[in-house]
Amino acid sequence: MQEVYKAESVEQALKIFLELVKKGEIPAGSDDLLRVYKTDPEVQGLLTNVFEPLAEVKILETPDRLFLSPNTDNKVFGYTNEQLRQRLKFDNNRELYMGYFVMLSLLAMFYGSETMEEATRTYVTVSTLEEFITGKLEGLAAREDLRDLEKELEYNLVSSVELWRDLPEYDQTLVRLRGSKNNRVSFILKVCAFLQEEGLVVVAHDREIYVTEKLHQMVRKYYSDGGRKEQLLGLIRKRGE
Amino acid sequence: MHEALAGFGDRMRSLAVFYPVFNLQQARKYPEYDRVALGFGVLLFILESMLLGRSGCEHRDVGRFLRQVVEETYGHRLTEEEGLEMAYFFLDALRNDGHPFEFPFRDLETGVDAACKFTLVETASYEIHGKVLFRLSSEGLDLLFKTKEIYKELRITILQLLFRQQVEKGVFQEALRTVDNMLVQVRELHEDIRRLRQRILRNVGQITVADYVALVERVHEQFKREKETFFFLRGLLEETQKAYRQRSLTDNERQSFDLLVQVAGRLDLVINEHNSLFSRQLDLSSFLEEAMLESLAHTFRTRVNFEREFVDGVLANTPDLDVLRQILHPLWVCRKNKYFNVMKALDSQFVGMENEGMAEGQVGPDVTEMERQAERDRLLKEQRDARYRRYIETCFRPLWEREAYALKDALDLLAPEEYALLIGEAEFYPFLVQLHQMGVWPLVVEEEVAAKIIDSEGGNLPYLFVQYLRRHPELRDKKAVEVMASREELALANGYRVTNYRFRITELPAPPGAPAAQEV
Repeated sequence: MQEVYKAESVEQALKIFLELVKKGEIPAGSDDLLRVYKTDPEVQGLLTNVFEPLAEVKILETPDRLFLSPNTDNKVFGYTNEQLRQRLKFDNNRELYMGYFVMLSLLAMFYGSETMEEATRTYVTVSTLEEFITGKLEGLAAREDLRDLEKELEYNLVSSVELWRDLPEYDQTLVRLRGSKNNRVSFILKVCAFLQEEGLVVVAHDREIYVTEKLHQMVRKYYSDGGRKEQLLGLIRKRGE
Repeated sequence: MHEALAGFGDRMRSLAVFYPVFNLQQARKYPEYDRVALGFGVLLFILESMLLGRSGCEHRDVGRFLRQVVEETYGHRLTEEEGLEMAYFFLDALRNDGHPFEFPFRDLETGVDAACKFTLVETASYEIHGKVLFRLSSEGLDLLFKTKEIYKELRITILQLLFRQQVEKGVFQEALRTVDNMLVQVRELHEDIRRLRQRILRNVGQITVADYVALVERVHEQFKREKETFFFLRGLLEETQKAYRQRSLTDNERQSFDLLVQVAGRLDLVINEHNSLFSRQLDLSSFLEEAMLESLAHTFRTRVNFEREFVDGVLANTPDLDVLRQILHPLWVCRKNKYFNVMKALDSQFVGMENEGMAEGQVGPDVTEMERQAERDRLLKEQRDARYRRYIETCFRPLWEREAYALKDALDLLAPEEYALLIGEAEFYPFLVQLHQMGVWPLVVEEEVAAKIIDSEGGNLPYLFVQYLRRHPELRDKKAVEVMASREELALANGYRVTNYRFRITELPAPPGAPAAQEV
């Protein structure tokens, strides 16, 4: 059966969608758009049933704001690896891979327990994160099939292990730590600077990393959805099979 | 169970908040200092910044505090860097490296193992460029209040009682401190509600309807009682001020009255905060209803352990680059594609901007440039104010020892390099004119008048003069100073000629006047 929507609802839905594309989120009080989304089932239906699948995005709703999240392989609003390399100012995919691993490890530092209700800590120091990553990668480096894995794929985590191992932990001669990537601490700070631009973390004194409420809500809303989580874990497992 | 053990769990929880402080003694760093005392001092310092109404304090403030304490107590002079290092150590220890403290114990009342989780210091806010402000958590405040034996639910009530006594006895300096303390307590109630909102937001399942109703009822009752008392206290202050206004005051009484005006202003602030709290807690009920609906959806969600499932999964399977991008992608803000329309060439354009360095294609006001301009203006104002402060100090310096003097006497007190700097500054001359135009300058700060003089962008002399008087309260005995023109001209070393203005101690004009004020 064909669905019929009122012109006014379409207009409101489009307004909400454009605002989300523009700013990434709609907090309470912004032009009443949040209230419209929550109280008008037709507008919400339009966004969920028409806009979300067509634009390959997911609108994440929390009691006091809406977030827009691009689906994993969004061709219109998503980034390619090349675009991300440019934003993160990385020279090659080995560095980009390591950058992704730093981000995942950071999430693990905060969401490493079974509960999603609270982050397990309020902040993490850059040195603690560096120790965590180094520890994890040392475990991988000890695997016997490491060389076979390396040959199999041009860019994967194995190739990044070498990169990480070759970096000194810290460079005391640097004045501006996050401007470099010639040591592990600077590398982490560089990745965190990107996450800070995205409004996901705050880095204090180039030493402590705090996650924002936005990241907390997005992690909780996106990754704890059973279907989406399985889809992502499926991608990881595919390689191992 | 022995009846002595009733409420054992709660008592252990009360006890637990002290252990992180005592634990500091076990740390390997700084064995030459009493780390328990310094750590406790840091907590008190954070409380002090909250009492002063600041939104929090940051690493560097704590570093400065520690440097000062270590120098005064141990005679060790730490560098700024060492002070900051020490602040990192104590703030890490008092925040358990970002994790909540966990204190396991056997509950002797129930016979089972229990544990309590708490924090002492929490993040008040993040600022741009990575500055983080701290404040005490509810448990941190509890800890400090326990050392003064006041229970949380009764804190505002007890402070209100104390405040009333202090106003009635006329000890306004102490009343001022109490009213600031009340503000911290009211803000702490704000925080309680914020934390509850956050708990609801994160997991509404943890809050039962009964819990919520009980909380709202308790808070409502407490608010109602406190609100009535605030109403009474405001009346009491008004009555006291009226009594002062109706008679002529001695110098001491005038000082007391000034304090009373300050106390009344701060009490209004507390009452406003308290009232907004009242409306906010009502707002909480609709928020909760919505969150409860949301919780239905939440029951279908699964849990995620990023370390075990994702990080370890990636290590075990070494997926290719694109898989990692796809996993993280949902977190990032959507990429915006912008397209050029060739008809843009026909849009109205800014003209005559070629020489002003406007970027190509930039047609609106540039936010970054506006921020830079605001920053430049702020710096210019700071420099201008600093110069004016120096002029005031120079012109009024002879006032300390003499009843009457001329501008030349004031300039003669300057060191040669100060003199050369001063006469070379163009702003010094209009400053002298302003000084003269004002005629009589009261040397007593009338709080009612001072409250209306604001720190402004230009013409800031009255404000800076009031600040000067606050730094030198001893001048109040001299009542007022009159600035008069004279026929004598003063030839300065750079060839400029100015009137050799005369300064003379005089009586306060009646009714009490003040420098021309910019009223809010």
